[in-house]
Amino acid sequence: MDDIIVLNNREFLILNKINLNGYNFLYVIATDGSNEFTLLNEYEENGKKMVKSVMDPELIDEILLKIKEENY
Amino acid sequence: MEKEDAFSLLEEQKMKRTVEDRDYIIELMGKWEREEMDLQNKPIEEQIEKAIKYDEEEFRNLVHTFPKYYPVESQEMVVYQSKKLQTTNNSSESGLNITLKDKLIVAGASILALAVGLGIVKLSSVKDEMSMKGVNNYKEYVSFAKENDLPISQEGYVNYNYGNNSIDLGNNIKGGR
Repeated sequence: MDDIIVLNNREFLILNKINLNGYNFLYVIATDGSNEFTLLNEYEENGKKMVKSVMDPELIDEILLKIKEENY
Repeated sequence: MEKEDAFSLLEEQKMKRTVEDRDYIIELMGKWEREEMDLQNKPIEEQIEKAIKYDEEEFRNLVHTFPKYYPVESQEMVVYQSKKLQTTNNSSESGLNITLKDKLIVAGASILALAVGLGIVKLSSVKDEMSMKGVNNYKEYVSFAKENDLPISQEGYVNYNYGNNSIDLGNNIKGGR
C-alpha cells in the first residue's frame, strides 16, 4: 500500500517521513509526472493534523541532508 | 577565454540558473533570437549569455524537466492508502513488475540528489558570506561569484544580496528582483 497525501486536490506520494528535532516532516512528490515535490511540516491545530510546506532555506537544507543520509 | 572553457562554464551556469533564475530565463527566452556566437573579446558574462542563446533548444528542455518545489499553504492533512500506484505493468516480455511508485521513488531520489548536490538550498549562507566579505555592488559580486562558484548574473546578485526565500527552486524568483 502506498501512502498518498492530498494537497490542493492533487495527489502526492509520501516518499519519506522523518523526525527532526521532535518535528515530523514528509517528503512528497506529485503523482502526475509534473516533477513537483515539497517538504511538509506536520503539526496539530485545534486537534486536527495539519501540514504546510517548509519554507525556511536552512531547515530545508537540513531535512534534505538527513533524508539523503538515511537513504544512501 | 577558449571556446571550450566558455562552454564548460556555460554548463555549470545553466544548471545554477535553471534553479535560481528559471522563471526569468523562460521569460527572456521568448525574446531571444538565434545568432552567431562571437566568443572572443567579450566579457565572460556576455559570452555566457550568448552561449545560452545559441543553446536555447537544449536549455529549454533542461528547464522543462527540472524538478520544481511546490509550496503549499497550511491545510488539513488528508492521507490515505492507495493500491492505485501499485498497479503493475506485468510485462509478459520482460517479466518485470515496475510500479508507478518505483518510478516516483527514482524520480524523488533524483530530485533529492539534485537539490543537495547543487547546493540550491544554501542561499542564506551565501548571503551571510557576502555580507562578511563586504560585497556591496554587482562588480564586487562578480569577483565573489567567481571565487565561490556562483552564478555570474545580475539576477544571481539580486537573489543572493536581497534574498527572496529562493528555496522554492525558481517559483518566486521575481519576488526578489
